[in-house]
Amino acid sequence: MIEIRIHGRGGQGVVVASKVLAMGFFVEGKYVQSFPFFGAERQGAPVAAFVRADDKKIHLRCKIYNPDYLIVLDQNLPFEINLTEGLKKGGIVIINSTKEPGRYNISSDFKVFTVDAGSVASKYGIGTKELPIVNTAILGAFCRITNLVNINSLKKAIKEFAPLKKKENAEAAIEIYNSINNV
Amino acid sequence: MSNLIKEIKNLPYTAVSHSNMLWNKTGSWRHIKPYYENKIAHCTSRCPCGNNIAEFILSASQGEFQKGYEIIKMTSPLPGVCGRVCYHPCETYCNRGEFDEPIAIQMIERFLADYMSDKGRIIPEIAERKNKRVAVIGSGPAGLSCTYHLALKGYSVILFEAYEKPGGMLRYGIPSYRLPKDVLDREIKDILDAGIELKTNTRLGNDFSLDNLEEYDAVYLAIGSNKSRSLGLSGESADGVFSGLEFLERVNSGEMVKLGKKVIVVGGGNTAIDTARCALRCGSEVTVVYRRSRNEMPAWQEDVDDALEEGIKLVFLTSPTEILFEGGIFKGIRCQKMELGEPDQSGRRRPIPIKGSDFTIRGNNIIVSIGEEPEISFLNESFEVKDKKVVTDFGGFSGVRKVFVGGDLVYKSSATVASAIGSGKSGAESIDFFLRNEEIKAKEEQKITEFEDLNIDYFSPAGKIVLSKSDVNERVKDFSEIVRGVSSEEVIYESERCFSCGLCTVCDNCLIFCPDMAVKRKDTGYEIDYDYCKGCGICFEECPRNVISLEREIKYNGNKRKRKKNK
Amino acid sequence: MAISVKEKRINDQQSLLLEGTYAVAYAVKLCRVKVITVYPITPSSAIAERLAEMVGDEELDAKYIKVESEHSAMASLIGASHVGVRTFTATSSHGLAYMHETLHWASGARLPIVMSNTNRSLGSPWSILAEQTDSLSQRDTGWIQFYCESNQEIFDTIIQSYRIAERVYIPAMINMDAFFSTHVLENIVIPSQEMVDSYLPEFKPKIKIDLNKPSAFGGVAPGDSYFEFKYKMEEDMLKAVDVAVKADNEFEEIFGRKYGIINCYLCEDAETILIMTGTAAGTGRVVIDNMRKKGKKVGLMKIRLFRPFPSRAIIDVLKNKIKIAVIDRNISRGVGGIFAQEIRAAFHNTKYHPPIFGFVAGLGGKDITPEQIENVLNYTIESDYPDREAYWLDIDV
Repeated sequence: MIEIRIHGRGGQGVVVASKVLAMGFFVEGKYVQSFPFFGAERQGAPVAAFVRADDKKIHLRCKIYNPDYLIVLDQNLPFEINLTEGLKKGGIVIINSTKEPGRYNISSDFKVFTVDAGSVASKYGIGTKELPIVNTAILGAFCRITNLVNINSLKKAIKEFAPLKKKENAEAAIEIYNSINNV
Repeated sequence: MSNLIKEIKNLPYTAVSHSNMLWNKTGSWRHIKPYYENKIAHCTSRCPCGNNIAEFILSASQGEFQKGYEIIKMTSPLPGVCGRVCYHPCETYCNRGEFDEPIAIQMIERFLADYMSDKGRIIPEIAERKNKRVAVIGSGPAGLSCTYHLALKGYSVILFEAYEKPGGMLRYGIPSYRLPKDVLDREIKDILDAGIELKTNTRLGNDFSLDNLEEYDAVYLAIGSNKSRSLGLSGESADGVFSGLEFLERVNSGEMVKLGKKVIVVGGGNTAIDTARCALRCGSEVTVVYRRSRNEMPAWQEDVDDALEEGIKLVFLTSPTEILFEGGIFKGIRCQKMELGEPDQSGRRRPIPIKGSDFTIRGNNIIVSIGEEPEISFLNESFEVKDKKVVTDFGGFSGVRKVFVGGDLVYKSSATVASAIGSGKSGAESIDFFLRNEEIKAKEEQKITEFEDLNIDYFSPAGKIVLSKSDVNERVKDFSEIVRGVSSEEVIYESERCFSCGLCTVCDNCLIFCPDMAVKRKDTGYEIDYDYCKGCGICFEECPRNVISLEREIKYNGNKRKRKKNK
Repeated sequence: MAISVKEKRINDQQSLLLEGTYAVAYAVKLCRVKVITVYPITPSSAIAERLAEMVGDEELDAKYIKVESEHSAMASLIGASHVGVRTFTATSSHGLAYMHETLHWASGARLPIVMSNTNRSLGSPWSILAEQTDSLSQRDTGWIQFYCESNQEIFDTIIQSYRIAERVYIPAMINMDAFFSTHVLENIVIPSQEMVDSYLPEFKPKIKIDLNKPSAFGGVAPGDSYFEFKYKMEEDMLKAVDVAVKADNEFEEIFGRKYGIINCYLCEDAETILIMTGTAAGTGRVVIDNMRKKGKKVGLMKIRLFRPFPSRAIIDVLKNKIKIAVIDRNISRGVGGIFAQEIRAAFHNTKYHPPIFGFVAGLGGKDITPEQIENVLNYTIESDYPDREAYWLDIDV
């Protein structure tokens, strides 16, 4: 079973990201489960959502405490929270950031990738220029880095769950997918 | 298995009953009995013409304008006139006025009359022709109304009019910016078309006397107050001095009376205000001089406001003492300031001259409009006359053989158009009784629905339609009508605001609330099944418009009811 | 080899990814419900929203009545159900509490109304997260009650509930956990309309409002007949256990899925049985697997049908077990977890008296984790006898 935790702030689309990613797995015939960290969400507050995927039926129905992957939508969030809490050894962290991975001082037990999903989302007019919405674009990076979900499956998932600008969201994810070579 | 278990097996799974309770005639419990009884709406009770206001508004609210018009025509032949010049006591007493704003009743009446103006003549059914003839003298509102109602009752009527055209004060007294002549002509024509013989230019006292009318079975005398009172000062015959009625008569005959630049009007009644506004429309600057203050003015307040808006100057607490003239030409008046003392007979505070307060108002013309009175020099001593008016019984009978009197000529009449119309109607009814050799009966007291009688929980606030007038700068240029009409949509909206006090609108409240389902539909209304009505009175409480009445009902239940004797 | 008709029908089902709320709405649609009245409340609001959408888009031929409260929602369904149509409402927590008196009326009038309730904690203090105390507070209202583990189970139980309720003329409440069900997106298999139609024929009650045969409903029960009506209802309520088993078996025939009124996992050779309900039971299964790997003889029983309480079925499984642990995400203050109490009561008049350990966990949506569940089982195995009605997880154990 694969367990993924997505971090962001209220309003950045963390829940939609978890749904899209779950759908990506679902398209590939996996059993999936996705759910938000339950609570009253507020704009700007740190929030999280979870995705489980497996080849067999998933019975576990609690939060994810030991994820295999982390996806982070906000580049400053890692400085504010204990980001890698419970992350399995060798786990992968993907952060939407213009910074180099080294800037985050994350333990060498984990592999850290930074992707400038913001400027790509901005280019496709997703969100505003100041506050681009990167929740779908960064999933392109997840597909490329983990190879767990085919980019075409992700494209289908975005078409299903993106609330608006479905085409732009899909194109942004594909552009990011294609831009990463150093895996 | 016990018998109980067997019984339970036979029970339905849910508590259901297919029988009914009709055997239980709860009507036997009743000691108060409700019954349907339409009542007179407060507005209707105050209408001098006796118009069924709540009923015609109900028709209007359903878009049935012709039906509404026909309802008015049962009581008044002049809805277009009253829709314009009546001082609408109905609106003053409208129950809705205590809730939010009164219904614009007068405008609805006007709309119905105007709406029907091109739909042909519509009058109620005329009764079988009777072989009796009545002479009506004076074709003002009282005479016209009496003529109309007599004609409806099947009498032959001859109508005498002193002037060239019929209408009396409606034509020669009221300016056409308040009552356009075509509206008046149309309604008079409708009356006369019932086969009325009209003799114009025939003045009682000059051209004929009451003695000449022996051939008629009854006479209705409605000559109105057609003579202006004079100030009683010397110089009232000088050039440039007019009496109010004389001036109005000339203006209303279509003459552009030549006036000087400055006109002084004396008086504070409706004639004074009409005079002033006509003089303004003839191109003069007008000052109205009145000896009391605005509060005591008998003129209709809205007309006074209009006059002020149009630029007429009002000078209060001022009374003329001398007419100034040079070479027989009017030059101005000498006036005295007044102060208000104790109330007089009319209830208004008496003006008292202030010594040494004399001053002069200069002007080119003066129009004296301090009141009117009937010209009654032709009446013989058999008539009882008080304050230059004829005293009658409640039916308008003068005491002189077959002569009935109506309108302003009657002692203590209220001198409005609507009361004159109402007076004509009751005159016609009295004449009808008289000619059928029946005793003239006073009207029965009717139950009136006032605000306290309503259940206002069922009404929600809704503002009155906005009535508009033509622009003040434009309207003073000619005599065209000031108050604008309204659309049929506005009339329906306004009519729907009407509470229909005392009138069943088939709202179903009684039917819905009756706990015994004793209220049943019948034809277009309801009936009460007294077998099941137990007299709880809920229908009476929940009727929004006071249509249900209650009466005590005492039932003696055979010999079961035995009185215990006191020891 | 030729594919059987049954297999083909099962293959007709399509797999979708749905949140719990949407799964409920989908099931209601397939059941051809005719009258829906919902007063929205978190976290069940999306059920109302989706159903309103379906009615608005004419996907579902039903009357959707907007009401001003949950009390009115149930009151209007009582009226609608008397007419003899299939009805539905959804609520949660305070909304269910507000319905309380109408719940009694609905069952007393024997109306097979089906309702989904989202198990959410009651204030004060405020919480909108998972807890079963809301529906368990309604256990005496005469409603059939189910507690569901997965979105698929919720979906299927709604369909089964109409069949059961309409056979015994008793309303049914399907309970699902706040957020752990409502807001979880997971795989779900959706049958075709034809399959549901074949399982759930048109509802034709024996007694209903009929304009041609005027009747009065729910009038005064004269004499002793109130008592007799209640006896009759209790008979039918007890019958509902077997009706539910049968409905589950028939469901399997058509849809290929079966849940049982209780569901036992690795119980046969187990010495210690863990009893759980709702979504947490899923986590319990994972824990059982892990502990089995460690050689511990443990098993899980999930109680799905709570009213009528399937005492016989439960005793049959538990009678020879050494110890029993019950985790309750609910509390009856003063006696502890409600399922634990019910099971203790079920044992009382039998000759079997295994120690029953009660654990209260996860109130107000607190996560019930695999670690906690393992602690519960270890504590139970290691202790001889419970020394109190209920242990509070992470505090007492």
